[in-house]
Amino acid sequence: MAAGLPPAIARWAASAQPLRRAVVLLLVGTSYFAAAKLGLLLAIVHTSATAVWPPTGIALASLLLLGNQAWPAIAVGAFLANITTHGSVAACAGIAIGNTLEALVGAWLVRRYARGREAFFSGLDAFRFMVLAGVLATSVSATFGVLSVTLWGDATWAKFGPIWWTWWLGDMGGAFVVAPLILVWSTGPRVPWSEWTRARAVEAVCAFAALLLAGQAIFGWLAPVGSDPVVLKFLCMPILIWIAYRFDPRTAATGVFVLAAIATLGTVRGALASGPGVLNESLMLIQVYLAVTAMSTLVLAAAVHERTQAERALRATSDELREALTEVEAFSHAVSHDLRTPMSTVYNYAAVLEEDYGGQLDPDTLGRLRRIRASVRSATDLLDELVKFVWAGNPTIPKRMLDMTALAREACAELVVATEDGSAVQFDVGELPPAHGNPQMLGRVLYNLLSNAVKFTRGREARRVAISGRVEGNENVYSVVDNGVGFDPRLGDEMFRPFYQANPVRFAGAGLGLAIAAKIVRRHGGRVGAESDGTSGARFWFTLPEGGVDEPVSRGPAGR
Amino acid sequence: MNLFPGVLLVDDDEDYLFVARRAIERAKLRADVRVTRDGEEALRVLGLDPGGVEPAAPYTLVVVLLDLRMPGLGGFEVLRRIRENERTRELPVVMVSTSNLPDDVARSYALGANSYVVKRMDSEYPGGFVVDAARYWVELNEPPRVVARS
Repeated sequence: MAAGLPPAIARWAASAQPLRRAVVLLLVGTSYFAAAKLGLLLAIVHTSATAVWPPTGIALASLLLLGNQAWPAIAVGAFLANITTHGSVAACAGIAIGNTLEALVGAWLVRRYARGREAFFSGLDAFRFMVLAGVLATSVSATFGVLSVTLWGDATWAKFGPIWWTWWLGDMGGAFVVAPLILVWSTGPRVPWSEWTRARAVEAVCAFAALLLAGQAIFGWLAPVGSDPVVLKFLCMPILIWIAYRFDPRTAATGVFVLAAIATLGTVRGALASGPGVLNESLMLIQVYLAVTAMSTLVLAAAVHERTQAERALRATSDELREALTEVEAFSHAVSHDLRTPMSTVYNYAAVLEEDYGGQLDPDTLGRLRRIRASVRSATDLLDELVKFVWAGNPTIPKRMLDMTALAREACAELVVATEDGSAVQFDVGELPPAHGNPQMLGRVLYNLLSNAVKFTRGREARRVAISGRVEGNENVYSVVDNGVGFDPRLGDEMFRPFYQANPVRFAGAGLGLAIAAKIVRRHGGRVGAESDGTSGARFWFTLPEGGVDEPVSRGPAGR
Repeated sequence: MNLFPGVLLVDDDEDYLFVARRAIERAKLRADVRVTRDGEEALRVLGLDPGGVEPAAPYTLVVVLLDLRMPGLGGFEVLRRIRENERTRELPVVMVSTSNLPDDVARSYALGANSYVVKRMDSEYPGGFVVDAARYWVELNEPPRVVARS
């Protein structure tokens, strides 16, 4: 059978210099002619109808690779192959028209619905290719061809049915076995040599050895005497699935081709003794067998390829994202550190000036001097919060089971020390269900929610902040309830957005506390929310999945 | 000869050093404050530089206030060298930094820091936190005996 069109030649042809094009077309025509002559050797039911017709695959692949304008090569090749074998000029012309139309219709359908030459790199497209080009388009050639030999040749109408079936199955075999082989070796992503490790090469050799052995056992010299080949035929399926699953579409198409060659040769050899009628029937059955095998194997290989590509793309994207996030974090730390140092200097020197000359300044000037310090301090606070906001997005933090009650108590204690009025608030910490997460991050969530609650009870009588938790379905719900001023119920989730400030004048802050909390909770696979009637306090809550979400890759011991 | 307990300030920020020294002076802390402006110089003073010899004239250090991020030899590296050497293994080291990152704090303690102080903006008087930190080691803590070069 004819060799596939090597990619270098296809590219060369695409560069479209007339002479080169002519050479390529000549090559296609010759391959077609040679493959057709080979197929016609097995023409039994009628001198022009054979159950083995690889030219269909060559024609289809050539049109897909070179474009429709390559059709004359096929028409001429088909006509010459037939006229030199048997039949009238009219009959041979009819057959040639049918063969050419089959390829044109198949190529058009595949281009329109199955991504053209790339069909065997996607499961769905591979399936569509098989149905459109292999099953539908081949009926064009069968109908044209059988009509031609019946009208202008020596075939009788009585034999129309059997000849048509043989014709159709032969073309289908070519479309299923030969076209994919040429297409996948000419196009599509190449597997880099670096991926062919020694182990993989050994595995490929083993798989093909197993295929050859099984093929021989079923169709060849190794076949047990008197065995039923129908049952044994399916021995090859697991091996082809192995090849399709572990390697790429190219290897799979090669495997299918190898099996087809063994099966066809074996069938011819085995059935020759039994007479031509039996041979044709055997060859038809083998075509059906090969069609089913090719379809399963190639669709699987294409689907596996698709999945591998998708995985690779996903991994690349996620690596890039992770890298970008790490960079942003490192950058924010650097900026924070580098800004903080000069800001401290401004702050300290303003303080030094006040210390040394404060007594000699009028109240206005002294006030302005103090404003310098206050401004620097609030800028530093904002910087702090920004760094924390970036840090809260870190995807690589290590997680473990946490005692949330202890974490909440720590946060309360920290709050009492850190704020001027924290000690004026009564904290009630209930029993909280344990959660899976990062201690610094979930500690920060609790601290930020508690600090928010403390802030909004400012100026109220008998300030109280309660934190409680319970298991609800498959998640833990934690609530921070205060008796502060509350918020407008219409606000909803607005408050969890970065830089949102309820009342910047009355309750100072960078406006990032709740946004940081929300970001951390979402990173842990949970949700946040808030409720208030607008007068008698608020409830801020967050959930965490009961068992915890999957562990991300830890970035090492430094992460604690 | 100053017989007060020695405090070694290691920091590359001249402005910070000015404020820190002024604050310690004003607080009348009875300490002999020495200053080095980078990690290499600090190691030299501690007799930990390559080929360095044990200080001949004893200068008793009770604490090193060590900046975390410095050009050249950083605070972590200086701390590691201090802990590696038999003679200075027990020397109290307080990490002082503008960073309050959990990772920095954790790594400092993992490397054997005795304390970690964030350079904050004191509302009472400038450099107040340096005095607060140093006072504990100078006045309250019973130090191990560690000598350095004068």
